[in-house]
Amino acid sequence: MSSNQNTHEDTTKRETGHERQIVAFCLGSETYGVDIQKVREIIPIQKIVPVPRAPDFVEGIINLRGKVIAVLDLRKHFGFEKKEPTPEQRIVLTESDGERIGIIVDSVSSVLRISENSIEPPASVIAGDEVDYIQGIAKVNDSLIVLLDLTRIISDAERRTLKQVDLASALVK
Amino acid sequence: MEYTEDLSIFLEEVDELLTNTEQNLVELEKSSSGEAIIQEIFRAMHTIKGGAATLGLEDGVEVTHAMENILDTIRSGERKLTPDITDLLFLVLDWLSDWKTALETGGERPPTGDLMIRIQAVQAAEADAPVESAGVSHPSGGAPFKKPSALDPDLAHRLLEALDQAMPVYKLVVKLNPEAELLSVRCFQILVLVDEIADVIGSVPSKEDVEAGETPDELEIYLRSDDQGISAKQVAESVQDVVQVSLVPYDGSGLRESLSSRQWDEQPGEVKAGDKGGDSGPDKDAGADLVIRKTNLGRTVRVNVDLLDLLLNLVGELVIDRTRISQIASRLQASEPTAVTGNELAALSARLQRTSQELQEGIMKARLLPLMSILAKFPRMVRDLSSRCGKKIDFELQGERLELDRTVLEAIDDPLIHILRNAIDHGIESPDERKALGKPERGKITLSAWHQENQVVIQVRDDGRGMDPERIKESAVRKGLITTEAAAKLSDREALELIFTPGFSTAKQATEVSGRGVGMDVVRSNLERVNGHIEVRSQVGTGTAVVLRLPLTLAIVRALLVECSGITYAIPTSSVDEVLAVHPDEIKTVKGKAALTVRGSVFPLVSLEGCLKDDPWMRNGNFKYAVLTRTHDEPLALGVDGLIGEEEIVVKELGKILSRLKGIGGATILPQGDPAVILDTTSLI
Repeated sequence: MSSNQNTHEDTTKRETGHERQIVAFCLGSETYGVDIQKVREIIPIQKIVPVPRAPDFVEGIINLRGKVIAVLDLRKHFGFEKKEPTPEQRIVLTESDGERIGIIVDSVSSVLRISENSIEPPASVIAGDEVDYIQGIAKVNDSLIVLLDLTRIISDAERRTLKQVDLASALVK
Repeated sequence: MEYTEDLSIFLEEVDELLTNTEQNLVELEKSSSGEAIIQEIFRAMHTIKGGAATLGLEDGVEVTHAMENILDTIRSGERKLTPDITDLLFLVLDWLSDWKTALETGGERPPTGDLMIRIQAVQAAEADAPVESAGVSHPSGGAPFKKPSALDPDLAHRLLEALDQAMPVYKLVVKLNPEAELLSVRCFQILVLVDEIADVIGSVPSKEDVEAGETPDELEIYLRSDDQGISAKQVAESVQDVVQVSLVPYDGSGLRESLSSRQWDEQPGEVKAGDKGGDSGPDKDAGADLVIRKTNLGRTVRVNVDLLDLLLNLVGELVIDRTRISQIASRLQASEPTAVTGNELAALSARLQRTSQELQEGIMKARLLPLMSILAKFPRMVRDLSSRCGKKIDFELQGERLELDRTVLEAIDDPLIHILRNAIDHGIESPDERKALGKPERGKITLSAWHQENQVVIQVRDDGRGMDPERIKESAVRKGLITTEAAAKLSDREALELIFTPGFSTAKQATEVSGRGVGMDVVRSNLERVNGHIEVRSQVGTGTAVVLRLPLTLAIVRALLVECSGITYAIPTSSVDEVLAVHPDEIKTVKGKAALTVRGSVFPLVSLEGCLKDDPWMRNGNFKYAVLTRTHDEPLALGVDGLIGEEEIVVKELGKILSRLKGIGGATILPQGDPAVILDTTSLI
């Protein structure tokens, strides 16, 4: 998509008033988007130290200006295959319940304004109840952007962790 | 505005008085000679009454006044202390505590009706128990206090010292309206205000005495200031209920003489907080059986915990920087052209180390609270619960003065309650059962605390029936927590560990006292959240001991940095006994499992990497070092690839997603800037 088109689209959509700003990023061949208000910061990939016994979708921890932050790998979360690190990779930092969490994405493409009208509910496209962190699918210039609810993803991750921990502690050697 | 301020001062005072009174009551029930205790309870009631009256809290005045009357008759010998009265005092205490909470939260205050009926019933019933009338009876409602006259020797010495210096000393005499009800608050206010603008050497009565409840109508303050005490005088005049303020230069005349000629009745080291008011009652020695007392806490300011946390975080950063600087210094020192600069930097770094360490210790101490702050309620709790279970139990506290980080304290409050409940409900047998077993009728529960290395150990021990490993196993099998075959293989110690399994409870039925659906598993996880550990030792027939091990602080620890498969991990040195270099030929096998023999003791040898992959016996010949540690109180040698060194690290939280991982106690930032995981060796396997 050219920048011209974008500007044009922006002005028309601003008139309708029902639009939202999203940060779009790529995972594999798909494009995803998250609400810009949920994104605190986007930082280049940096040294991630693995945490033993962590759930597998947790890539590890990073040092963000003296704070220890857990980083999730969305590829693993969604069950995509593992990919070697590339310079395009970014960590999207989000905040949920006052806690900062990083999410690794393959690359960040742009910040977009999309019209609410172009968003379709996920149920009509994808079935299954595991997808409650998908807010909807937006059609932008013939391509599809899957809108993710980061807060849901994180609470889903916490739930999975708890399940794993409870299972482990319930097993008596 | 002034009202709310007065109220909050008053409520704080009430809180302290209630805590003391509760301890006094429990004490009173045990010993028959309680005149000093009665006196103190009386004074507490009186102080609360005074404050309540000033603030227009009629209900509080009504209750405390009635209670004061009863206590006064006991004090004067007209009436004897009966269990009815003790029970009534407990009821009054509960009422006051509800009342206080209601005032704090702005909720509805408890009604006085039922309580007043009980008080009146006791008053009426006791009229027929006359004792020979007492010699001296204090006028009802007037707590005795000492006129400020004699100087305390400590203050006298300080005054002499001050007089020897060049700056003149002034004596500020403040007279207050004796009718004013909130005298102690006023005195305290004056002392605090004057202290802010002048160098106060001391006062009669002292600030501590005022805090302890003394309510004089005259206050002498000895001070030095740049303006000859003028602003101090003005400040004192501005306080409500002050009727006269005079300021005179103080030359200490007669001080030296009085000091040398005076005979002090009190021996050094025998200061009793209970006698601080200078009460001239006949029972000076009875104070000896007052066991627990809030002693002089020193001068304090209130600091927001968030601010302390922030300061601590900053100190943490400082500690990290200091470590980095010393590393740079040693790099510079190592090469010829920069060695001189390196030496200078090293010296600077050493200075920085001292300063930051003191700062760190200071802030750490500011976060500490006495253990007593959570233990104070336990004697009463044990008393109530044991009478409800029909058991007779002596409860003893030891080491309650130890101080712990407030976060740790908060985390152990509920676990301790749960453990005590268990001891009362399941541990101690009924009096009949004990008699039949040849045990003393009264059971005993001891809660003791002590320091051990850089940990605080708290032990709750009872002399009850103990826990039977076989019964625990049966119960676990019945609940499907473990198979019969697995149970058969467990040692007695391992069987006891089963009580920490979620869903386990040996009680035949849930009782009011201990069955609340919370089990020892919750207790354990609460403790692990603050890097604490819990162990249980028990012997059938002789009793159970629950031992909690807690870190002194959570924020900064010394840790050994080790390397394993290229990743650095931190192990708190508190859990490291020793570090050894390991040669492959030193590794023996016991029943096919690797082991190290260190000075005659056998340590099972597992690789750290294997532990972290939940396969501790994984064969890995790579490790060059072994870290000797303990897990579940048993020795363990952890094989690691490399040793990096010992550092002070700042413990950081891992966040919700990673917070409950077994064997992992948190994270830290290494001096080089990389994050690292802190291992918790006790739960590693």
